[in-house]
Amino acid sequence: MRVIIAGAGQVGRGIASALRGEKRSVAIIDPNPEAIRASQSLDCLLVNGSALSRDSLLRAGISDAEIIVMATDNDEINLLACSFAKKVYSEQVGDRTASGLIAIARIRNTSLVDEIKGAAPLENWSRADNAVCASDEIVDHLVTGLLAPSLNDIVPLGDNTWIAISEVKSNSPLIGSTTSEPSQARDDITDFIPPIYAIKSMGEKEVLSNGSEIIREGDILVFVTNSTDKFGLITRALGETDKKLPECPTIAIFGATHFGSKIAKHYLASGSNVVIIEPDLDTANEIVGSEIGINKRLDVIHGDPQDEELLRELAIDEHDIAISTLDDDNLNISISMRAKDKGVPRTGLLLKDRALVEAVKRIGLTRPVSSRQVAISAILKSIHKNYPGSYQNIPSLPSIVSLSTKIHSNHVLLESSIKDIERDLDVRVVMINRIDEEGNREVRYPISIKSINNNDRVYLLTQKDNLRKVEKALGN
Amino acid sequence: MRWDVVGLVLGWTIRLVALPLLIVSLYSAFEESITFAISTYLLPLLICALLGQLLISFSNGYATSSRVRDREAFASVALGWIPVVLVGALPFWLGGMFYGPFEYVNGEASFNQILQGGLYSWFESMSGFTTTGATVIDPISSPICQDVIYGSTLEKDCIGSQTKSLILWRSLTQWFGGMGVIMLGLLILSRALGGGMAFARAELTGPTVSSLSTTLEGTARKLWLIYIVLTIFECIALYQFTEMNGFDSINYSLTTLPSGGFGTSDLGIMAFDDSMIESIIMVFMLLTCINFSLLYFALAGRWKEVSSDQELRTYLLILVVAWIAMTFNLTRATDYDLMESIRHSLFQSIAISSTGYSSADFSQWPVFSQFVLLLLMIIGASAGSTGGGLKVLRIRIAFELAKREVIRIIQPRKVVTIRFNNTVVEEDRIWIILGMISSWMVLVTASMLTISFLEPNLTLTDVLSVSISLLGNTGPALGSFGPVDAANAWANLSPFSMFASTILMWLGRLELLTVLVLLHPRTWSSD
Repeated sequence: MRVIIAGAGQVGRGIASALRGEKRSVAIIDPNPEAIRASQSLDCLLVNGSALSRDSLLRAGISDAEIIVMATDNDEINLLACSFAKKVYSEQVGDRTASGLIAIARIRNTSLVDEIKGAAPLENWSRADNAVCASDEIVDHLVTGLLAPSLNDIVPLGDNTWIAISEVKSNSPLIGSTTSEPSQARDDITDFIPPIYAIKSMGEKEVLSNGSEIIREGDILVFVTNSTDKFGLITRALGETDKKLPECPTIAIFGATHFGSKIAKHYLASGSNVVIIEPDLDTANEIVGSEIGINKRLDVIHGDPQDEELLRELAIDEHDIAISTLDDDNLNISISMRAKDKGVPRTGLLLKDRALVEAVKRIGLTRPVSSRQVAISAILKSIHKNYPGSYQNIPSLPSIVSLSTKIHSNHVLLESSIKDIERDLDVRVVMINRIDEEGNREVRYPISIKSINNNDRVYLLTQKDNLRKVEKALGN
Repeated sequence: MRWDVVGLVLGWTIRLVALPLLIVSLYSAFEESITFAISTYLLPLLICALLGQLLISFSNGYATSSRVRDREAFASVALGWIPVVLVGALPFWLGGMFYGPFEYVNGEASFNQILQGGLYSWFESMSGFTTTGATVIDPISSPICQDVIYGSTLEKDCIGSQTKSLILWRSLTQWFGGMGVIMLGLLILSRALGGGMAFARAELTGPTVSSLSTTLEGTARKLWLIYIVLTIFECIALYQFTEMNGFDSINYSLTTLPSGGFGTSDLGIMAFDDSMIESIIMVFMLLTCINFSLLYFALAGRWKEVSSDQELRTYLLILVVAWIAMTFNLTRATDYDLMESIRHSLFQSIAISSTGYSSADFSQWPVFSQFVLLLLMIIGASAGSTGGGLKVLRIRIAFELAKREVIRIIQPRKVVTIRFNNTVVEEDRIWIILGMISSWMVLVTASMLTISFLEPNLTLTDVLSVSISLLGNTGPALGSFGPVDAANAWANLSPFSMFASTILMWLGRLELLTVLVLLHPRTWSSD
C-alpha cells in the first residue's frame, strides 16, 4: 500500500521523507520539473504532472494507494484534487464510494477552516477525509516554546503533555549520572525532574533510553512532562537559567497577520498587555475591528516595525516577549534581532523555510517556528489517524515518534504493566491520561501507575523503524 | 439634474396626499356639513389630482424610473415636502382656521390678513408634516377663538374652538409626516422606480435602519405595520383606560406616534391633568423614540438584539440621568412635592426628545432643569425612530471620536476604531456624521443670528431654544416659546421670521444633509 503526495514543495518533501523513514512506499506528483528534481534523493516514485490529471494519478499508482495527500500551494486545488482522486480511484478499483482511499488536503488559508467566516467543516461537503490546517498547532508551538527559551524544542502532545528536548551544558548537575537517576523521586514531589525517555549522544543516533546511559556534556535529552511549570526545572537541570517570566508578560507582536491575531488572543486571554505593530493600515484596522479589538489591553499601532523611532516610542525594551509574524522570513529575522538588541529577553518568530530554524536558533533568537515544519507534523498526524494510535513526530529527533492510544475493554494493552508494554513493544511509555475517582481526567507519570486500565490514554515513544510493528500491535 | 425623474416623484407624492384629504373630507361632510367639506377640501383634492397628473406626465414611465441617481433622489425627497406642505396648508386657509379668502369675501378680513393667514397656514402645515408640533393658532391669527372655563377662570381656547375635521387634518398631517410622506411613497415608488434604494438613502439618513426585509418595500411595510399597530393600541388605551373621549384619543394617538405634539386644545395634555393619560402617552412617546427596527425585533421575540443595542441603552441612560437630576432640582427649587417632581420631570424628559407635549409649563422651571431639557432637545431620539434632534447614535459616535482623538494625541500611531453594537463604524460614515453635526452647528448659529436680527424683542433663551427646537422638530421651546405661550409668541413673529422658522423645520426633518446636498451647485449642473 502506498501514499501519494501531490506537491513536491517543502511540505510535500517533508512528509515523504518522514514516511520513507517508516519504510512506507511513497509516490510524489508535481508539475514542476525543478521540484521533482529536488525530490530525487527521497527514494520515491516521482511523477511529473498535475494532481488534476488522470494520467498522473494512474502513473503514481492510485489503484494501489491507501492515502493521497494534496499538499500543493493552492487550497482550492487541494480540495478539488481530493474529489478527482477519489473519482479516479473508484473507476480503477470499482469501489463506488472510494472508501479504500483516504484523501487529505492541506489548507493554508485559515479563514477557510473557520466555521463562521469560512466553509468549515470542509470534510462535511468536500471529498477530503481530512482537511489539515496547522494554524492552531503553529501558535501552540510558538507560545509554549517561549515559556522556556533555553530548551531546544518543546513539542505539544495534547492533553497537557509536552516533550521537552535540550542539550546538556557543561555546568549541568546531571553530568555523570544515569538517565534514570534524575527522576527517582515520586510523582508528587515538586522538585521532581520529569523522566528522561530518549538520549542523543554527540555523533550518534538518538535512542530510547533504558535508564542506564551516562549523561555527558553535549548530549541531547528528551523529557516528557505534564506541566509547563516543570520547564524551569528541566532548564536548570541541563545547566541553563531562564529569566523568570512574569505571570502576565507584556507582549509585542509584529504583524497583524492571522497568526499575529491568534497569538495576541492567546496572551490577552491570560491577562497580558499586548501591542501589535502592523505596517499596513487596512490590516491594522481589520484587527482593531475584529473580536479581539475590543480588548482594552490590546494596542494596535500602525507603523513600520523597523522604525527605530517607533520602537523607542513604544518602549520595546520594556516588553517581555517580542514575536514577529510577518509574511517575510527575512523581515521576521531582522525584526526579531532588532528586538533582541533592544533588550527584549524572549523573541519568537514565524518562518516558512524550515531550513532557517536551526540557523536562527544559532544566532540567539529564542523561538523560531517553521510553519511548514508544523504543517508537516500536522499532516503526518492526520495520515497516522488512520492507523491505531495517535501520532506525533518530533522534528528535532527525526527517528523517534510519539504515539498515543486509547484503551478500550478489548485492547491488547489492558491490564498490562508498564514494564511488560515497554519490553514487548520495544517502546517507552511516557504518560498516562486517566480518569480519577471524581471523574476528572488527569495526566500521570508511568512511575505512579501499576497497570493500564480501561479508558486510559497511553502515550508512547518509539523508534520510527519500529512504528509499523507498534501500530500493528495496537491494532490487534 | 434629470427633471423628469423629479417630476415623477413629486407627482406621486402629491397624489398620495389625496388619501388622507379624502378621509378628512368625508369625515367633515358627515360631522360638519357637505358645504363646508366642499369649500375646504375640494380645491386641495383637485390640486392633488391635477398637479400630480401633470408632473407625472413629464416623465416617460419606466425609462424615467431607470434614470434615478443619488442627486435626483435627494432633490425629490427634499423638494417633495414643498408641494405637500402647500396642499396641506390649503384646508387651514380655506376652512377658517386662519383668515382666508372666504373671510375676505364676507368682509371679515383685510387682504393683508388673508395673506398673513396664508403664511400661518403654511406654518401650521409645515409644523404638521415635519412633526414639529409648533402651532400659531392664537387669538391674533385665528378668527375662531371661544372662551372655555378652566377651573374657576374663563380663558380662550383657540385650538379647541376649531372645527373638528380641521383638527383631525392637522393631526393627520403629523401622522403621515411621521414616517415621511415620501417613505410612504416608497411602497409604491420602489416598485414604480428603479431607484428605490437611492430614495431610502435620502429619506432615511438616520445612521441606521436595520434591514428587516430583503426589499425596501418589505422593510417599509413592516415599519408601517408597527406604526399603525402602535397608533391603534394607543388610541384604544387612551379611550378605554382614561376619561379621554374618542375624538381626543384618535388625535393624541395620531400625534404621539410621529413624535408630533399637536393637541386638541390650547393647553394640550395639561388640560387633562390626569396622570393615567400622561403615563399612557409617556409609554408611547418612549416607543416612538426607539429605533423602529428594535420594536420589530421585540415583537418578533428577538429580545437579545433589543437589550444589547447600545443606542437604546445610551438613550435610556440619558433619560434616567436627566430624570433624576431634574427631580432633585424641581423638588429643591420649586413648589412641586416629590411625586409631582418625579411625574413632571419624567414626562418632560421623554417628551422633549421630539414629541413636544407638556405636562407642566417648563419654561417656568429653574435654569438647571431648563438647561437639561435644552440638552435633551439637542440630543433628540434614536436613529430610525420618528423622533428628531441630532440623534443619540450621532452624539455617541461624536463622543467616541473625541475620545479617539485624545488617545491619538498621546499615541499618534495607535489604530483606534469606533465601534457601535460591536460593529466597527466605517470612516466614511463617521465623516457623514461629523458633516451632520457641523452643518447643524452652522445652521443653529445662522438661524440664531437671523432670528435675533429680525426679532429684537426676543431674549437669548428664546432665540437659542427656538433654533434648536425647530431643527430638532421638537415644537415647544423655552422662555416665551414655552408650552403655554408658544402659539402667541409664534403668531407675533414677523412674516419673514415665521417663514425662516418653517425652513428650519424642513431642514431638521430632512436631517440637514439632504437639504444641504441641494445647495451644492453640482446637484443642479446639467448632464
